[in-house]
Amino acid sequence: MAALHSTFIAAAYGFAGIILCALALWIALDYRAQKKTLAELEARRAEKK
Amino acid sequence: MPKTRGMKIGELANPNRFLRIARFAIPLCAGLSALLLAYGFYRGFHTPAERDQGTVFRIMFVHVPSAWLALGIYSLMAIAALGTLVWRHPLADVAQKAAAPIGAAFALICLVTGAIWGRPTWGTYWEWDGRLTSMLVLFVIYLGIIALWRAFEEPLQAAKAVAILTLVGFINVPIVKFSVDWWSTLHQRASVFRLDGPTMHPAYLSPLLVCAFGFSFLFAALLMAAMRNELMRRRVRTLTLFAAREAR
Repeated sequence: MAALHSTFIAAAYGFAGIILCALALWIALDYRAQKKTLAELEARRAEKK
Repeated sequence: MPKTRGMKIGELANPNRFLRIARFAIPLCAGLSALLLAYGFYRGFHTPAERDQGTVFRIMFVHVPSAWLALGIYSLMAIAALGTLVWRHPLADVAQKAAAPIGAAFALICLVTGAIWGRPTWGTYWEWDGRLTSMLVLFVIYLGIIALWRAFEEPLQAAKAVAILTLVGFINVPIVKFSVDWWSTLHQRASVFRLDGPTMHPAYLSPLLVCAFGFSFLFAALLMAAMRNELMRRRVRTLTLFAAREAR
């Protein structure tokens, strides 16, 4: 019974961990992408000036 | 007097000021979240087994804070919707857009961990009872809001449409909260936020509250990081439009 309960507990915590890590990773990758694009656009703008 | 008050509101609404605060507030909130969650889970996993449920009640330390946050984030989005429509706060729609995927994630965690917890305690993963169904509706509303943001090219147009949808969808929040009182459901009644005080034993209540604070700080860190991304995305859009106009 305790072993069966451990499986349910591990599944619940594992799922929550995966979702939250995926969310944090998505936000971090988005930050990198926006930062890179913004730097390129600002450099191009500075060149024109 | 009005001028001073206007200046103060203007200062708080300033995106550049927000970015300066976010730079140190994001790692601070993330660090506090990690510490609180580590302590809360440690305490939660060292409490004695529950009389009826055995050890499986420990799912509560992730399920209950997720449910509270799913409802709390939606309430915050409703306030932000008012900020967009009534006060025209420049960060309101940014906060609302950034909060929606985080709220959806917590609603999904609540639904799935609840289903996993339901199997050994109720004998079923799912039942169409008031609490479970209204929480599923909340998750679908979150998805609708995310989809509506993506349907518009112009962020300000999207903000107005999303604000109206958010305020209409807010009717579901009290339904989720009071569903266990209004209908005879499989889901247990509230045992923490009650007018006559919590009925939960302090040995379980204190780690639950620590975990809830831990998840709340995690939400704060993710929200500020997502808002920073959204502000950068809007700056990219402005510069791209500016460059296209200059190239003509």
